[in-house]
Amino acid sequence: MDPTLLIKLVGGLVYLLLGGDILVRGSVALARRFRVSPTVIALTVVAFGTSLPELVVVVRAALTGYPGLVFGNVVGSNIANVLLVAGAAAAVYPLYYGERSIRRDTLFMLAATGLLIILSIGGLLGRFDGLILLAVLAAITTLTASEAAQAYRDSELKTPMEWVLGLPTNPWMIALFIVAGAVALPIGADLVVNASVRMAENLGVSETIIGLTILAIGTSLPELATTVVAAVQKRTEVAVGTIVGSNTFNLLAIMGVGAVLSPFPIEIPREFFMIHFPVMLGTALLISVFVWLRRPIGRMAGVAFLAAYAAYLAMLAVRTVAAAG
Amino acid sequence: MHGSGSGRNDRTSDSGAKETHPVGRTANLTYRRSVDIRTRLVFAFFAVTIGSLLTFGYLAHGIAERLIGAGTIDQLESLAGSGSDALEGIVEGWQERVQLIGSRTQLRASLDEYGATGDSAALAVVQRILDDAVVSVRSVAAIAVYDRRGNQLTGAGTARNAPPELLTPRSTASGSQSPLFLEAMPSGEAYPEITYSMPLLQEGRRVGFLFVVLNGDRLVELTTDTTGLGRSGELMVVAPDPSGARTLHPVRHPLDGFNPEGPILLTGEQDPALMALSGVNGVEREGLEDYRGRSVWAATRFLPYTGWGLVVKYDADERRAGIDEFWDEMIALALALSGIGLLVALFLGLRFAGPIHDLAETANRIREGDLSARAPVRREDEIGVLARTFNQTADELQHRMLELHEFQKFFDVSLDLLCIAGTDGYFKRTNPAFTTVLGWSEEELLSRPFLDLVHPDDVVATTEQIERLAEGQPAISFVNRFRRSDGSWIYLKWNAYPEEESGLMYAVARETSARPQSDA
Repeated sequence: MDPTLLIKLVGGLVYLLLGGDILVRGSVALARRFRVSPTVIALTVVAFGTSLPELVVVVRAALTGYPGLVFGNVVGSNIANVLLVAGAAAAVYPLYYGERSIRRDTLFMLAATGLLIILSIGGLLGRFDGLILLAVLAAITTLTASEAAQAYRDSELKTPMEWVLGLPTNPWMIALFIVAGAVALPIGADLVVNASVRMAENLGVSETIIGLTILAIGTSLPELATTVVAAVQKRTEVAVGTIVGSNTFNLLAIMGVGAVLSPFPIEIPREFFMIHFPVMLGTALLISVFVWLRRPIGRMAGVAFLAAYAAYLAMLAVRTVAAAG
Repeated sequence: MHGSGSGRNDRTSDSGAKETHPVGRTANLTYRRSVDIRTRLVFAFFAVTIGSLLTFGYLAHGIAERLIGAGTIDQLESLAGSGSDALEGIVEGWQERVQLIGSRTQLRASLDEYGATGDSAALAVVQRILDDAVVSVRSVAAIAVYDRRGNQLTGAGTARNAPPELLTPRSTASGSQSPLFLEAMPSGEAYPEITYSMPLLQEGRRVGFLFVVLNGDRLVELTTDTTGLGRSGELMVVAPDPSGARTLHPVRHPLDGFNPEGPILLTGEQDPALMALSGVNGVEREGLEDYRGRSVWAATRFLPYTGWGLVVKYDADERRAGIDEFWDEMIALALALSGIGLLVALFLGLRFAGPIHDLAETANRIREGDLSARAPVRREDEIGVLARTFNQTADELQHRMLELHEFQKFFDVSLDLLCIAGTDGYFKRTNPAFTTVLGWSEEELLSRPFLDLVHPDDVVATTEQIERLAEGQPAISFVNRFRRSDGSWIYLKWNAYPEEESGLMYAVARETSARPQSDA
């Protein structure tokens, strides 16, 4: 395979992750400067900002007409979040649940999963469907606003990146952060989408496969890193909550914004109904069952999750080879 | 990046467990007021990477442009060369065909016979030969035979462009028997028609003329073959025209602004068509436009026998498209590599600036009063030495502070009066014994000249003593009287030592029953 594609993919992912991070950092600094309340910052800038990489990739892919990438990225991220991220973290240290609201949050996730699948029946996801997803997101956000704000006050932006960059206070630095982030994100999205599509062409596989695997894992790397690091430090109380929240957000916000911004309805490849939607629903149910039974996800379960993820990837590979042969 | 970040978190949680100082959080915030050195390093590294890569890309772009340009010129030259060779071959083929027809012995014999006898049977033979030739010889559209005085005798086939006024046979004077190219006429979208004449000689006498109109199917085949010409390139054959030059064949882009009546094929400061016709063989790449108004590069050839010109041209945009694509790819790669550079910068930033960052944080914590704070020493380079030295200094500082603390305790619990005073006549510091013995609070003692408290009779002696101290002589067992807060007087015996650099006196006093020396 052309090595420039790999360079572009990796470079693009770096732009996406760092660009999203410094844009959030600059925006938070700006909001603080204008004395916006931390609650509002947490619910808007931080909530959306941390998912910016996925968002710009999905919008970019939708705009350039690669629906396989759009759905592949979101569905693949949700599958990877449970099987790969939770699995890897649990294999390091069992995942316990700290938040009282976690059971309810799994219901939100299951509902969002179901809603997206139902809206997708018919094979197209249009602007109106996107609005429905965003309306449900708004409703859930309103319901959980006070808790989210509280959680934010407790955690205070404890991402690894904060240790590296800190928050700027000098107006010029704030401007630099925001501009650099706003420039880096589309560059990253462009590089990643471009490289993904051409990689699919080179490997002779569908964009969907690239979206489900390379892109999904790539955009899930920060979650993977933070969660595994937390597990190494034996602080796993928030891991499951973060994964459940991230999955819900992916389904409602990313797909919602992607569907609304896309100039034409996003076409859903058939294989999603056959395989990927059921797998996504299955993983959502899997983690929900653990939560509902109040059973921590132990090391054995973690290893089993990872094995399931490996099996899923192997299944994709076999199907691809079979399709090619 | 996250791995390094986790290491950072590890240390924080470790030091957090040990750390008891309440201002630790404030200490953390101090350095976050601005962007830290690691971030600056990351930005700087990124700027250098992208700057050098874009410079490289820009230079490479220039080189690529030059090389692709040179390649294009070579390609145009070679296409023009092979095009003119092919065209010459075609022209020779035409000539041979005319020769083939004109060299038929029976044609000339019958024509001679007809000229001599007027026998219509002889003319019928001529007619049959002509009919036969039109059918059997390729590319022949029409043939006409004239007698030696220039009157048409017969003909076969059809030609759109009848050549009557051209029939002043140019070859009349010539004794040559070879075919002569007369002219080529474009015929709209169909084949051009090429006219040859040939004198017909019988036993050295001219018996008539042969005119052959050939259709230029081979010419059209040559010009419509776009092999090596890309999406837009064209090979054109042009003939002189009263208005300049005109094409002899359909063009590649007839719907794109081509005017068949338009005499000018290419416009520009120097028209390559005219250049070709005027005998210039070369390549032109600046300031040329073709009939579509597009900027083109063109190579020209002059064909002496027919007087035609050959023009091979490329759209400049199409040549540029490759270069532009290269440039886009270069930018994308430069950006992607810079992204990877950014990752490396982040790692290096953490690795190199991290310890400096830790040192700053540790120094800050010490400043805030946490004397137990120490910088981690992980390396043996300059930063490691700095951290080690820093830690040793901190150890010493802590030790000194401990000693100070111990002496402070002595200072506080002493029954004797201990003080530091200036030669300006004020106490700078007094110990609690002062308050116990004299009854004045420390503020009261520090806020007025101490001579105010000295018995009026002792003021002179005390002043003298202070002057001596100011000159550097210690005072031993000097006695004077001090006023208590209740107004009573107390004898104090003083030992005082001056410190010249600071101008301060360190003095110890205790109550004594002894009278001052002056009274003794």
